[in-house]
Amino acid sequence: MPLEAFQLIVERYTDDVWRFCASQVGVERADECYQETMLAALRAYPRLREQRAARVWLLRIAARKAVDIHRASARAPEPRAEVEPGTSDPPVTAEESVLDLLRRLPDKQRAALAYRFVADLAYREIGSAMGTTEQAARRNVHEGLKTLRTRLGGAAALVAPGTPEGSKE
Amino acid sequence: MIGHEQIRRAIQDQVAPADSDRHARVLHAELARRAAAAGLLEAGYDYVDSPLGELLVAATPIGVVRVGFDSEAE
Repeated sequence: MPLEAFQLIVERYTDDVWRFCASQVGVERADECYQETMLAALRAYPRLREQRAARVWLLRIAARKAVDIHRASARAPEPRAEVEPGTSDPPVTAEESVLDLLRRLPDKQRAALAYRFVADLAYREIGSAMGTTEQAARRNVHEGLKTLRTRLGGAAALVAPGTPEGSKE
Repeated sequence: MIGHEQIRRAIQDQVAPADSDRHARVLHAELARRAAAAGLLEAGYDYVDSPLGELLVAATPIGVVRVGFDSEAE
């Protein structure tokens, strides 16, 4: 196996993959997602045909690993805030960040938003990465954004927790 | 109403590691450890402090295969 080439890929795309993972599973679990992604990539590397496509290939693996992590979490659910009768989602609290809200989106919308906003892919590339059409990619990004905007309501969650702006009363 | 650009910037800000270079080294070292444990690694590498600066050391399970300064790899 041309391991040296794989190491170059690791070095080149670590930041991209880790950020993508953070967007999918949160910063706290991003390292785990990153490690699972890179190990899976190392196993599959001999089958990668185009080196130029390595970045999107890695992100696609990361998206699948993120779904695995979400499913594993769902099997061991954490206690959540009480939901008002008649509402489908708990309200946004002051401590929640936009990443918390992003994490709650359906898998396809969450991945599509990260491909677009974190990886900066074109809709055509997003469609290819997700195995859908460009139109479906646009729709997933649009629906994800719509849900995020509705849930955000105000701008508080747009500020990262722990930042001076985020700690303002 | 919150705009798309605000959401984009907020997401990008919140997925930025505090110390990108150091964090990347920690990730790479852990990846090498896991890959070796899984029997996937033919050669791994790590950074080591030395009196002359930080050294990149690459090794296989049977020994060191390369020692050099970080800048030499680029």
